[in-house]
Amino acid sequence: MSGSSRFLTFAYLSASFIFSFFNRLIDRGPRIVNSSGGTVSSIFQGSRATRVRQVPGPLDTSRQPCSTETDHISGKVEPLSGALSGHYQKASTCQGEDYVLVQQFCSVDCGSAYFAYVGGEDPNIGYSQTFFCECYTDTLCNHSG
Amino acid sequence: MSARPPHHYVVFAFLLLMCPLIVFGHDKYTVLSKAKIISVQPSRILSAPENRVVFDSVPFSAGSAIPHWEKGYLISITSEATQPNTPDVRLYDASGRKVREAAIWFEGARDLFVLSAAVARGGTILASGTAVNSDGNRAYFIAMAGATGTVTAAIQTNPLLAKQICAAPDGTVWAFGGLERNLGGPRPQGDLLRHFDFQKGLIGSLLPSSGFDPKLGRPDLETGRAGEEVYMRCSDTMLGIYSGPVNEYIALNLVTGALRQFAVRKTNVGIGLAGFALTDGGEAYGVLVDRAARKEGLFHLDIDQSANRANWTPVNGSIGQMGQPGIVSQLWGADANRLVYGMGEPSEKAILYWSEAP
Repeated sequence: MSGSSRFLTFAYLSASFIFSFFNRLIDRGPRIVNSSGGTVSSIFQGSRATRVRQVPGPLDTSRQPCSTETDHISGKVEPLSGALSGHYQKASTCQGEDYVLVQQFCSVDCGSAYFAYVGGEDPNIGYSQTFFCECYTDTLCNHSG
Repeated sequence: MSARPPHHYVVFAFLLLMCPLIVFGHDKYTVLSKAKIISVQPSRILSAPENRVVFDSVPFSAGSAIPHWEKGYLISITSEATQPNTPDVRLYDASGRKVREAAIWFEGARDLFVLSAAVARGGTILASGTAVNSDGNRAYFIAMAGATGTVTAAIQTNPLLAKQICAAPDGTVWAFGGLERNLGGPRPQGDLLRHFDFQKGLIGSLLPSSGFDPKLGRPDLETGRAGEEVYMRCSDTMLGIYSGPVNEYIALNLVTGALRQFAVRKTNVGIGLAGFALTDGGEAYGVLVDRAARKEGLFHLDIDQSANRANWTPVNGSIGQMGQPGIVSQLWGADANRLVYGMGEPSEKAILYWSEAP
């Protein structure tokens, strides 16, 4: 290997080391990789993030076939965060797969006649950004809506 | 036609009486159908608790996800975070005290939902969920929290939303969930069970979504209806997924890589599953709850390897009227080959019991 080649190799390795060193100093955030193994600087980076509706849309009252106001037992549970209207909650109960409830998220006791649900958004889809717990009668929804 | 001897009528009457029995009807027999006993298993009996610990009530309070027991810890999740530095995953040890917590958050997030959490070797907290930024983009993630409780490594898992995760002994993570679509776009097809490495990203996948009948629903999607719960639990050698929506128990041998799917016999409409556990020995248990009959208790999932079927069978001494003393009402998980469970009144929720798995 000639002298100039050795110098170039040395310069390259030195530059790589210095770059790596400063990169570590600068990047104090978590190491994030995508599914392919590539490192990204933000969890939101790249086109792989899934875009969904981000704000509650207009309430579609025509899609509430399964409940009435009396089915909703209010005041028995504490919402996880500011809940939207009860109507919206019930619409969530009865619609299709995009608006499911996730029972496992709820840890409340609704008494003997009722069982607890957490409602609000399916975090997959994000129609709202809210979680809350409610109690419903077993027969609230026939899920045909 | 000749007259039947009297004892024929006795036998006939006996069979008629037995017909409507379902799992909760008797402690010894499983589902009866068409007057035929489908399965009679040796009686499993729940032994008296070896341990009884009163826990901090926070993991059981309204507003937190239902906790579960794993690798020596009770894992508690607060589902939604809207700001950094707010602990959303907490670990409690066997004495009932909080020993570690993590604030899962990413820069640029507006909201963050933790859907599942697990414990890796050394008590490292892992969490999965979805982070939403101000543009409405969602990053599905699996995150690792360091000793300080902040995220030190993460994997962006889109399009898989990891709803259930397990830590493998080698530091990798298994995730089960759904493949989510972009707004207005088609739902992606692909594998629902994926294996991730914090350095390499996706390193393996199994269980194609196309293998499930869409009429039954999505195997990852809990509808909120009793009987359609979804659980994934792991030991060091086995991974078990109970999918109520598609009535399947999916077992992955983590040593050999063998994947088996067992059709779970539907017990009865409206019977829910309040907790699921997989012991180190690979045995699966659940608490079935029949709210209409107000009965609940512990069941073992019997596996018929040759028929690819699974069947819930009762554990004697654990089943009865809801809220009664001694009745198992919640299964928090498995501690090696012991079950960690709750009994009795909801007010006793924070009392955990340990018994050898029957």
